[in-house]
Amino acid sequence: MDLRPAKSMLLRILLWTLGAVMALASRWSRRFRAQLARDLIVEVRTDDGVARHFIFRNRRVSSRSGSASSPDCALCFATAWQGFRALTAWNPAGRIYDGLLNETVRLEGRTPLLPWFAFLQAAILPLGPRIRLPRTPPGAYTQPAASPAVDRFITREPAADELDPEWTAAHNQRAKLRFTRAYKGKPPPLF
Amino acid sequence: MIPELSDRTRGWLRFVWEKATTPDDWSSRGAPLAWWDQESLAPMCVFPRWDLSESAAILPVLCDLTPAWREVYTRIADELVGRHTTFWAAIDWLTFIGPQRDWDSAPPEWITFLPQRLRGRRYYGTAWVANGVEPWGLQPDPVGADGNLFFRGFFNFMLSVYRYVSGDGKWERPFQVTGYQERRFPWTHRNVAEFIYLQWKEQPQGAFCENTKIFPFCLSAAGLGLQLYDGVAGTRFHGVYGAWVEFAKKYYLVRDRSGRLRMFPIYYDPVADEICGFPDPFCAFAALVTAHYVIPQAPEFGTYLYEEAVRKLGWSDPSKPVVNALPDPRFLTTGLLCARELGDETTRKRLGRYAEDHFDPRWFGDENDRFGWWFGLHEPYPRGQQSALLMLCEAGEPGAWSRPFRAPNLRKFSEPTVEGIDYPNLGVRQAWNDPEEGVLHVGVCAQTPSRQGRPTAFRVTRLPDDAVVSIRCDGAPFARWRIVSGGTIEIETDIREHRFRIAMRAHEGTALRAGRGAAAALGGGSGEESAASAGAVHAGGAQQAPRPYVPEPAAVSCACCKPGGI
Repeated sequence: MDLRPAKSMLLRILLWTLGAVMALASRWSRRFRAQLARDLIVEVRTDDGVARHFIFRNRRVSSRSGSASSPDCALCFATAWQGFRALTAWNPAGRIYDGLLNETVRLEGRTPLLPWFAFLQAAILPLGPRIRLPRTPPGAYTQPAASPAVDRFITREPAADELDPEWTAAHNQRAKLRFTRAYKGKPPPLF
Repeated sequence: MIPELSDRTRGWLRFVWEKATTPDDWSSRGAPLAWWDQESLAPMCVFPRWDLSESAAILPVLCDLTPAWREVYTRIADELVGRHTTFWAAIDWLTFIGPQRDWDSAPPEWITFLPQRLRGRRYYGTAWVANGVEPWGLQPDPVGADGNLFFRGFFNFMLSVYRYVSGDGKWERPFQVTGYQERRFPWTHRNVAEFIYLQWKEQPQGAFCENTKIFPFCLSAAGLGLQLYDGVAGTRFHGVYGAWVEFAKKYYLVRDRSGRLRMFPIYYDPVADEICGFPDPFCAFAALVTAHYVIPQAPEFGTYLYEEAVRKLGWSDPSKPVVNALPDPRFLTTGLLCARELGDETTRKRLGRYAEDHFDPRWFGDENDRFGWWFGLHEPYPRGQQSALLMLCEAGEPGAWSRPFRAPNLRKFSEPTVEGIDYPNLGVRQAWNDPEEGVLHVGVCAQTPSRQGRPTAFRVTRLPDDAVVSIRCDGAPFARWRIVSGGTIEIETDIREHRFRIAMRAHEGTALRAGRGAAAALGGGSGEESAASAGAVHAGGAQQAPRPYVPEPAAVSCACCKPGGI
């Protein structure tokens, strides 16, 4: 009995559900929206015919079946069943990497977007490993150094919440930084 | 076999020389020239000071390859350190003041570098230093701060590099560091190192970079700087790093029951008590990116981080393809460096082949005399940070990276030294003292091809006072040299491939004496070496004043290398 159609359907349902939940989250969750600062298209597809692309625009998410004409990045599985198992695994990253090693998974386009997409998925379906230390390291450096031996090297002044507006040269130079421009919408360097 | 610089290493050195010695304005009214890398390893390292420290890292290794020739490394190190005292070096600390207002406008790729639980919450992006926020207050001095460890630690590393290659204490004299609102803060190298040590001793977790993120990567580089400083200055600051390694193994490193790596953070935020880390197997990247700084200081721990990382990524397994899942070449490059350093030949060959095939090594410049890695990018210059790290993989044999830190060669400062090389017209392949044989080996070449054949000269200083010198060039007796002062000789040659063998034979009771060849150079002669050639000139005899030497300014004639770029 050929189970491929059933497996394809499973992946289609999964991707549709993911898109629907993301769409809702982008409307209802401020925290989710805060991570959608760019207009992008991410695609998940398989070599045996399943495809869905997720459209991020104006901090809202929608999705459509089929491939996009020019996705910003794409995650491609050899088969729908492989895709379904990877995306529902406890650690999808591990499954995907195994697929890269045995060349049944391909990453296309701006591949650093894929971890971000995976984190969005994990935000909605909080499965998977928690990235935390098992215990809090002691002696946290959470207050200014108190000992005179160290304090004598440090110059401290009252808190400030913005760059001195009169230091115009600094403002001009800060505006040119790659960091600043990336936050204003210019795509960051690929690496 | 006598060590020497490879062609690629010399080509890279040529480019770094050009970058370092071409004046540019790093004040708040100017801007670094376009060849200083402000793109790599975003968002953490998109500031030009990272190119300074990455470019400096190879200098101790090159210095160990040509310990008898250091003047170019000294000049480069000095220029790099000088730039690190400026506004642009500390631009993040001086201008990212207060809370980050556009925290929710992060590029999606950069959200990856936030702790899992804090994504989408009001949490400053990585690289937003938040100078000025409570409880730290505004800290106008980029060196003297609770945070900003990445500035201070790498700065001390570079200062230590300068001291190691130059042997002089220039930066032990007070100098000024540009701070907030153009204020100047006086420091010495000793004070910088001491501050790092005392602060670390008080805070075994390690100091933080941004307010408030502790990066094992930056801490390990800071440790390396302390280790090198101890080696050159005789201090005992480096012990704090050993204590931190034990702390990191206990609290930052997460292993499974069989001792395999499960998690290692990119950074830990002690205020939020959260880490930035990646799920398996990508936690390997955090381990790998730090490993090459750890290896010289804590070889067992560094080797563990490296071996676990390349095992997780499949890089050490010949049955698997080399997959570079992230486009950033830094991780694979670090793996390659560690593989070379530790003698892991299997992994080194695999990663080396990948680098050759994908990272686009190329000669460039109007005379094709500069070398760099271009990574398939259509940019006017090789990416500084990435190329510099890759060049570390090219320089030297296994152990070459660790050696300056673990077994610094300080003997070189009292041994015969080559000086006055007309660089970059004349280049040096080899400059190596063999104290047992009493021979200085010097290999020169035409670093700038169009200058080939032109006459040139260089000096050898610090010769033993009682030495009798004889020189062979390209296997034949060589006469065109003379004594210029006590312990110093000058060799006349042309800009071309030559191998000099400068033999120094002790002759008790007399000062440095030239062979007949020197007298011949002064007044004509056959230049034949013979027993009678020794003793032609005695101490206090016909010695001439040193010929003043002024190296040519670095030639910048091709469009891609002109200041201001294309």
